[in-house]
Amino acid sequence: MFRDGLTIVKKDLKIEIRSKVLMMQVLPLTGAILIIFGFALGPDLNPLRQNAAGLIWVSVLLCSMLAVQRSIAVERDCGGEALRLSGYDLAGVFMGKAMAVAIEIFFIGIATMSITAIVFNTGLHGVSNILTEILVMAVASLALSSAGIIFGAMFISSSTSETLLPLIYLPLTSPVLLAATKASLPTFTGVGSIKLIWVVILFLLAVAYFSVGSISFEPLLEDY
Amino acid sequence: MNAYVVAGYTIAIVSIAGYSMNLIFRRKALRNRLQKAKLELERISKDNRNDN
Amino acid sequence: MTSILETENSDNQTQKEITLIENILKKTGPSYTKYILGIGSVLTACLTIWLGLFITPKDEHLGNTVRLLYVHPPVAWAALYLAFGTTTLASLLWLWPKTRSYFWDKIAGASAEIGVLYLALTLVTGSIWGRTTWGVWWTWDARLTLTAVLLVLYIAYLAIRQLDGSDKTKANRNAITALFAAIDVPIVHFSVLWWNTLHQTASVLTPGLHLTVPLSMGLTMGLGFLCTTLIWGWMMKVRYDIELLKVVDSEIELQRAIMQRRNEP
Repeated sequence: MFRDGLTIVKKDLKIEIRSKVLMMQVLPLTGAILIIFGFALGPDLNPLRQNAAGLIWVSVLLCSMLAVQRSIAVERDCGGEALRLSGYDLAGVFMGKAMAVAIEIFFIGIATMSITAIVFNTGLHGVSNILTEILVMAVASLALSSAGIIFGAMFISSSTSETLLPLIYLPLTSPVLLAATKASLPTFTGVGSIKLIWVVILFLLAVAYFSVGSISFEPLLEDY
Repeated sequence: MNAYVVAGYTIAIVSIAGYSMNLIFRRKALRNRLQKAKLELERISKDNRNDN
Repeated sequence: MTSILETENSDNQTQKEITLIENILKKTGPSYTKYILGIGSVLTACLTIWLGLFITPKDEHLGNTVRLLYVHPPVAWAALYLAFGTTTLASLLWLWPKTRSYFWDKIAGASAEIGVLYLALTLVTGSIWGRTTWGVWWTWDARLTLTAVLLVLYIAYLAIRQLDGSDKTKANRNAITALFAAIDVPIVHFSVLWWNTLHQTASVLTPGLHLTVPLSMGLTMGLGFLCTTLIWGWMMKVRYDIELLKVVDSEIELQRAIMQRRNEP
């Protein structure tokens, strides 16, 4: 199961590195979203600075959806049944795909954070805060990608996946957004320190989505 | 009575009654369809028997 | 030769279909359960409205606004606990191999649809309540936020139910979605609670609900709970009937299409 997962992770990351969609399209999109926020809340730097944590996570959330859709599209292009017929353990496939997307989201997140720190002039406050922030980013990425992959796979053969995925994905991951935003606040505002409870909530979410996802991936793809 | 209370009650009553009506009509339409289908099937089987 | 065989065959088939339809019509026709639930809901609804609007006294702090309390909490209870509880339970029973049956999938769907209606009502009546007592239509209070997230989640659930696929895939899909939604609920609940205690904006919301209520008010509220529960029961029965009728209807339609194909030269 885990070995199959590892193979899938390698495969997906290799595809991503070769096609460079993430680098050339999704990352610039983050920039575009941040610029839009700048227009909406700027040019005064204060509101931008105050809301930086929230804005980062909103743009990560939106971009994570694209990463998920991309990861699912790769499978759809070679036929939805390819995964099923490949002989891989499906729970392993889920873990692999979720991990690969989590790694992608993590990089997008780190990039977004760095860009924000510069263009919104927030800076990053406190070494321990920054380290925790990186941990938060990793855990939140896994929670987002697990939920995303399950529902992405659910709609793999549906013609309305573009609208359905956000409809379920956004409310479902709203606690991730809330917890991650609150956990990131101190890093960007420099006020207070990270409250442990948010990190705990993120952990719970990641564990719950990841484990339930790996159990339910097989029944989901049963009939393809 | 104040307007807010009246509005609250009205909205509740109208939407629950509306949905109930919708349910009743949906069921009725389906039942009618099936009843029609049944009559037609009975006619067909009668025809078949007569043919034989 | 073949033509005789075929007519006999199709005659058998027709007979089978006729009995199928007869059975389903009987099953979804008038029944005591439906009458009792239906008449019960209408009676309790009328009684609640009458008592709630005209008989019970005004509250000394809240005035007439207190009358909204005979609607809002009962609707909220039916939405949050009865309807979505049933959906979650039914979905789990579908996922559990030993109790797997399409019955549970249908029940989950029926209950979620009613739940969405009730939840929307909860939000609307709650919003009116908020406007009169706290002066705002909406606050980002924990309960309100949770309710709003739930509403969107279950609307998405209903949308997912509309997707096509084989019966089994569909049922799996629905149950897994419901399961994810159910996991989300407690986490959203706790996180928004935390969010609020950190902000301390919700403390205005506490007064009003801890009143010592006169007996008539308590009874009316109890009646409201009974009423929404009965209505839920009746709606469930009818909604489930519709689901059964739909299955037979599509089957008949399919047979008819096959017959037509066969009769083509």
